[in-house]
Amino acid sequence: MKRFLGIALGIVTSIGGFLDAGSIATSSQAGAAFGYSLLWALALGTVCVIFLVEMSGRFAIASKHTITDAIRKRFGFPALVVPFALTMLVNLLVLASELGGVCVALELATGIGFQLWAIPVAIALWLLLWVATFDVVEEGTALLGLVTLCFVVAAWKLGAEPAELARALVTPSLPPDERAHYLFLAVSIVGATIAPYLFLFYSSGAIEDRWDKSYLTPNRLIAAGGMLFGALISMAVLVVAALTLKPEGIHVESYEQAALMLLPAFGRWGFWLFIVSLAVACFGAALELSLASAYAMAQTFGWNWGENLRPRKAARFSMAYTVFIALAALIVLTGLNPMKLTLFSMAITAVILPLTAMPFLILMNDRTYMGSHVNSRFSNIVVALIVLVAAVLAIVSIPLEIIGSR
Amino acid sequence: MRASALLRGRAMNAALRACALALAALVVGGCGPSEADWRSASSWSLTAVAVARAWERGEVPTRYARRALQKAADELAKGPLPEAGAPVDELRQALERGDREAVRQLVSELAAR
Repeated sequence: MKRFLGIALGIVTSIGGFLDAGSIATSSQAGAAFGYSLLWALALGTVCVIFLVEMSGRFAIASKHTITDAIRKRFGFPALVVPFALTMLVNLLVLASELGGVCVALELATGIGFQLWAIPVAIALWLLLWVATFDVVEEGTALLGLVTLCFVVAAWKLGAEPAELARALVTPSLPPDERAHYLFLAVSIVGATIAPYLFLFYSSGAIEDRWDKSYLTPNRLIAAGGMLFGALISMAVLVVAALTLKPEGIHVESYEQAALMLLPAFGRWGFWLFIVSLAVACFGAALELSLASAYAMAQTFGWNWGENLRPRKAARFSMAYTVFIALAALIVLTGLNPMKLTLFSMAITAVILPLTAMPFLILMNDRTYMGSHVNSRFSNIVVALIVLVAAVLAIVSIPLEIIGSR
Repeated sequence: MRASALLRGRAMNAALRACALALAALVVGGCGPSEADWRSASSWSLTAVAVARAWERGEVPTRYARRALQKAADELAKGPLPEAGAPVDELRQALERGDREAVRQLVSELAAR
């Protein structure tokens, strides 16, 4: 019974914690511009992230190492430097996007400019990490994140046709025009779904929660169930944007436009549901990302780490997330359009994905770490293929998007 | 040697002239609004209409509607048709005054364009 409840909680927290600034920005833009035709990108990203998250948990269970720690030990610090530096840079941009998302939600609610919220939100984020335990951080915000299920309810209320959705999920199709933008959004969606911080965080979480071999099956259920149901919420955002904004001719370039999407389904409650969903989803993601970055830094340099440790027992780990949050707040203070920042950081995530995923795949096939729990050939092929295709598409589409938007 | 140097000099001049022409074509060609710019402008006009209508129905608070219309006016002013920002700014002012009749009238005019 206790194990069943643990699995259920794991799935629920994965659902509630799935949506973030990246998913909201990319899915709403995709739905408003291209209707359902980018659902296949979400499906592709979801399949890959299910594999990666399950592998991440299995790796922690079998090897008793986190991914970053094992990459450092297996390949040596010099091999880790470039992927680490790039991942930290991208994490910083994504953290700034999440922080920006919370600030924009507060701006929409109060009328006070989003830049003025950067410091109070950063302090709230830091304070929670400083005093709370891992369970409170992970489960608390994820449970609050269940408010994002409002998008699923909205999609149902607006009469989304399941058959049409199913067709779009499995049939990629290039539009007759705006192809560069379409491809750019496709890779942004994949980058938003397969963010490296997600599976790196998952392995650190499995170590924090002291998962042993009895967690192998629950890990599989949590990875598949949590990611799948979580992805349904991202898909619902796309569908709702397709049904409400596209017919009005509104392309989403800022959160002010996205805020209109729940009005047809919920009336005046729709506006507030959007704001709360944006704020909670982004705040939860910002917490995870701050922790994930601190984990990565501590594990790369071999420092003491752990959200369950008091800050003075893991001083450099605590300093790492403090500095990260401060830098992200500075980026928000510059006034960069939070939605544009989000979209580009998601696309860049897709570019650097192979740098993290490939060493991870090698470890997953190393019996020294995995014992009898090594990857199947099928898993290797699926992950390698999706990651490489996404990276190539990103390298091609980012310059086209920049040229097209001049 | 003088002849070959002269020829190289002439070839270089021709190459330089070709580069300058290509550059000028790029600059001139890149100066006009792109299709993306026109789509963005249309989207912001329609956003202004949608925001004003939502405000009329009482679905969004005035402070949000005011900021969203300001944003729309600013984006339109930066776009291929800067004068399109003026009616949206007028709409924002009517909304701030709480003049529902004026808002309704301006929305109909905007939607008709």
